[in-house]
Amino acid sequence: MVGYASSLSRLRPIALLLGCTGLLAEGCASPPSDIDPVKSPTYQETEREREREMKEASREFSDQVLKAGLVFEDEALRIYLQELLDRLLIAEGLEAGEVGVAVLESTALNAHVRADGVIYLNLGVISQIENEAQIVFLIGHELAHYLGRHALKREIFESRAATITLWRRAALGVALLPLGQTVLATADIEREGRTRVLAPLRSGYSQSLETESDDYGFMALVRGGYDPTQSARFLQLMLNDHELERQEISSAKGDEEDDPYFFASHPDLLARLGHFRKIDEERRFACKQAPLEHRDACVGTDALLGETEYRVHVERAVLETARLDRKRGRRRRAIATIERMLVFHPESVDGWTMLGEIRGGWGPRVDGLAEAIEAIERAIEIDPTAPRAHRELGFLAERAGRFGDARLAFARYLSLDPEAKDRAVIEYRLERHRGASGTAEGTP
Amino acid sequence: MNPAPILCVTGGAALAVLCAISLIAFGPAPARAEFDPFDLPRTRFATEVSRIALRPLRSPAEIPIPARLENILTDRILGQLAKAEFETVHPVEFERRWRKYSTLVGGTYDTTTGRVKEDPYAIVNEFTLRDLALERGADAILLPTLFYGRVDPVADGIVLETLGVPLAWQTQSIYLMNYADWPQEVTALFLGIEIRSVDGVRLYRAGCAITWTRIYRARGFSDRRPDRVYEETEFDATVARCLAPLSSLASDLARERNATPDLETGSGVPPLP
Repeated sequence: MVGYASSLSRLRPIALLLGCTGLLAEGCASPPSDIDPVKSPTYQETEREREREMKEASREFSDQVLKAGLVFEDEALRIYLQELLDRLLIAEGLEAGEVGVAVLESTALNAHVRADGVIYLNLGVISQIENEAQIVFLIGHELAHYLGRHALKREIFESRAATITLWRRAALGVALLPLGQTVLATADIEREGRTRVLAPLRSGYSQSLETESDDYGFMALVRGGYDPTQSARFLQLMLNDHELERQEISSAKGDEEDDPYFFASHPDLLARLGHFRKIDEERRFACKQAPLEHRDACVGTDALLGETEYRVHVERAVLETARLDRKRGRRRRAIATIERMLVFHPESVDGWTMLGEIRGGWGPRVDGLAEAIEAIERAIEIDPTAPRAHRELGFLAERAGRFGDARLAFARYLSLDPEAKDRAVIEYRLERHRGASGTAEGTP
Repeated sequence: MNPAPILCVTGGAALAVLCAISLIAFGPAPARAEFDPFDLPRTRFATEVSRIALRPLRSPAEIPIPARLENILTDRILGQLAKAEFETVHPVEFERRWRKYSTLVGGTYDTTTGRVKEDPYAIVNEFTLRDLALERGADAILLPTLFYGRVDPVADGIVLETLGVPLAWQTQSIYLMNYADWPQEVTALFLGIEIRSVDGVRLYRAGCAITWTRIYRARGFSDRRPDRVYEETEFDATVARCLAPLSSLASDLARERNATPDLETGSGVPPLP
């Protein structure tokens, strides 16, 4: 190991010079920002073929996602989202349904569009969004990626950079031959260089595409008569959730790694927030300056939010997200999400039951037990024949030491669901409770 | 805005890149992130988990672990947890409840196919864990398993070894005289430790190699002698290694708290409540 280290240190100055040349050459491989690689004369037949392949791969992805059961099935929600998307498509002079939308069973704050024209929105992002304006912004953002063929542009960019890297490696290999060394000897230096110098350059290109999509999403809000400040509000929500996640999930295991939407290729969230505030100020200024007859397009404080409309459609999606969040250990997010939903669906038996289940948990701690019982009792008040709520009430009453109440709740559960799969186990539990006499000492 | 083309024409930018590369070439290498077995922030683990129930060790039929060693392994895990200041619940408690509920639902495995019967399994699991929480105060459950996995051999001089033990082919040490001597694959026995909250959220996961068990080379494979695999000392060391992040949890958190300067008092010690 010592020999290797010393030979590496001797090589560093040479590698430095050669590396500099290569890295600069690689920097030059980037397409200039003002030339669209898809529209430029360099858009050759090979790249058209690449686009066809990307579309084919996307279709395969869609098939696999469907087969794997990863698409969240809620036809009413899908139709609602498609209608919002269709409005944007028609405004672009395209056919309704030319781009599709689907919801994925994932709690990550993510959304993406594939080359075959399907926008995938994750349950995680749908449950965090507060109103129709925010979802229109997000759909508009993704649509801009599709219309601008950003995936292809990125692919071309990466491919050109990779070609230059290959040439640079070959040149470096030839230069090192007289020293009796191989390119492997400078692999560490090269890796560091790529991570610390080239990666920011490349992400700069990706981020310029993201900013372009953000602008399009913003304009989609303005054109649709929605409140344009909701674009900034949407980003603020994402930022808040990111902070909350840090408190609930180990930073090494969170969504950040597999969440390219907000935290990797996208510009810094705070910078994006600043960008939206700036373009909104410019829009307001332009509105003030415009002649009176043109001010109709300038939305004011009565701009559309579409909060109720949105919440009506996402009830099932929110409950599913809460269930998945609970499984992942994001208990606080699950509770907050359901509580927000219950404001708009105060009669949701499933919502109150799940809130009670998550607040209560199965653990021995009793903090939050009273609130959990309260939520379950609310569910029973709305629908006294809901078996799941009575079952949960039985468990919560046990933990509170109210074995008499537990017995009643379990008995009611079995009478409401005579075919319950856990009937034998619950009956055994009831047997044990009979000897407990409703005292805290008489543990079952 | 794409900065890359500017590099081609601007001398200043090129100089900046050269400086950056110099820093990389001659500067210290950045630290690599260590594996973190915790699935939630460690402070949360420390505050939410105080009593851990142990599920009996599970291992597939092809791992012939002697019952004596299985008991030793259980004792070592309980001992390590106690050393890390966690209260523990013996696996007998888990086993008793599981068997009772399993009988009530007609078994959790299909006796013909050997597959798990999903609904009965979920019911037995739920009631066992709820009982351990209610009756024994368990916050979490530790699930130990044994399994086979791949390990990489390394060359110490001309002797090949892995996990600090020389590799042997049919009792003979392997010397690295040419590339043909390099094994195609080396498998090892692993101890898997997973800790879940009683309601099923994964909190901690680590897999630690105990020792190598089999070598694959061109002519076939050669197994290590079982008495060399199932050694008490190896198991001891592995349990300690796999649970080390838990053992250091309390002291690490105390150190972190002390290292965080308090802005009001200016000291590293948090003010008294």
